[in-house]
Amino acid sequence: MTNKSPGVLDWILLITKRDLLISSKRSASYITPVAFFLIIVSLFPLAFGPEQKQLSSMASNIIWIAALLSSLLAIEGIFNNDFNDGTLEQIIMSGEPLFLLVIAKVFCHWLIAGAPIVVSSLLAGIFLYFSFENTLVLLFSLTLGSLLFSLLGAFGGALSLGKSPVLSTIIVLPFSIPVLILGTSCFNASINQQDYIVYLLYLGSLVAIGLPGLSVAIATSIKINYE
Amino acid sequence: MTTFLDIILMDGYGYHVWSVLLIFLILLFINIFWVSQRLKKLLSDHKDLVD
Amino acid sequence: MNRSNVFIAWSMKMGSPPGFFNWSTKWCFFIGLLSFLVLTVGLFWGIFYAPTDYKQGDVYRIIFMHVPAAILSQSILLLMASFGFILIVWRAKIAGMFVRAAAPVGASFTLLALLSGSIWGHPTWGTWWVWDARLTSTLLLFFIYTAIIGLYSSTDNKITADRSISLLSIVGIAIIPIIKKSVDWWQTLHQPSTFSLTSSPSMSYEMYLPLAICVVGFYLLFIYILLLRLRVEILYRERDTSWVKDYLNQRIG
Repeated sequence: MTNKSPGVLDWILLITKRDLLISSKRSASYITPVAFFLIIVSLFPLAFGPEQKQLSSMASNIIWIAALLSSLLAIEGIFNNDFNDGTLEQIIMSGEPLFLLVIAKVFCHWLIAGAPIVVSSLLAGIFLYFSFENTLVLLFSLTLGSLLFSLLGAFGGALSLGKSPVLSTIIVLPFSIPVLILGTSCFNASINQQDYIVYLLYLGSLVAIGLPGLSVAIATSIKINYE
Repeated sequence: MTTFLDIILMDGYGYHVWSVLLIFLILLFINIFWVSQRLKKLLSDHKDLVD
Repeated sequence: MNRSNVFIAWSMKMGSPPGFFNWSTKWCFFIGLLSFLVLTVGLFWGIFYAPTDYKQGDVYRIIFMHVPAAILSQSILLLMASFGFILIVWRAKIAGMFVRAAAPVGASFTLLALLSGSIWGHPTWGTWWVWDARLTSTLLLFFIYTAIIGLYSSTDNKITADRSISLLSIVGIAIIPIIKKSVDWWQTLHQPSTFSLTSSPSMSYEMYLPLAICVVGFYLLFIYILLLRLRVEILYRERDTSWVKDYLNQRIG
């Protein structure tokens, strides 16, 4: 059996397997985001009153806000756990391009925390008398949006490595707000039979810019904390 | 613009313009004040070390 | 000496804290005086002598403080990102101190722009605040400045802190195209940009000239406050070195 030294793909697979394994053992990591999401969604009918027309008009906006807040909650420990037990240092010392490993880590985190939120937005829609003709638009925009929330949250987490988690929230929020605005405008446009593809294109281009740009920024910020 | 009071009040808009100027001066003085306090602290710390 | 040697020698001198400190001593007072003169001329001219606007009346005079503050709030973030880049790539310590010193000044100018815009909006639009594109994104700019200041103060190791806020400033400039272009993308309440350095002004020359003078005055004021803050930051960071101790002894005695 040849003894090849591990390359980038091996490291990516290793990180992915490890993160998925750890999260599957720790049920809190995949249950908490969804639970938080659904709880926030149910706060709105409780506060605004159960009148159907009012809720159904605000449904998608409530879902987006809840998705943003629960992603802020879920992203808290993304790098801190590995920072505390030294795994992050090993990952840096592997010598592989750190931004690729970061993409792997953020994508795993999105699979565990973000994607379930997108799926449970359908359940949230039932709570809010959501009109299901526009489901596809909501799901698509929410997928793009939650990817961006995960990327931005990882950036905030990397900057505030080892410090208070509230700081990462403060850092992430100003950048998440345009994403929120784009996502809700997309849905509102689709309800009013206007052109919603434009907003999806904007969101997609943000993902296209953010994926390489933010992953490099996250990698730089992790290395900064280790110097 | 006839009298001095006319110029200051600007038909009731004077309150807006002068309050903006006031905010500007307050922010300016906060910045400069912070710098002078920091310098004062530096000097007093240095003095404690020297003495 | 050929030119590259001169440039290297100059940048070595400017890049070192004592070199920059000594160089800036005489410039600081001069720029402060100049900014005071230019600002006084500009504001006096604008508030008292510029013609009254036919639509808005005299309240438009807030423009002489609002527009320069808004221009500066974005320019300062761009400058911080540039110097942050210099810090991360070339490891010049002083670039990091620049970012640290400029952040609160940028936050102050952004706050001035927001408050003055709100006070101007109340009589002209009928409301103190509206969630249109430009106001919202300027508010986000203020939050970014706050995040930068908060990130710096919560990091204990100041070298790491400098690099972290440099990185945050670089990512933060993403908000600037949103501020600038959002008014063109969405038809909203705030008027589209009328102030530009290259194209001819769409307002009368009698209003444009004092406005331009105020912009220059605000830039000079920013440089003055920045120099003050930067010098104090240098003194604080290098307080254990001999040149700082000599300087402080000189100041006390």
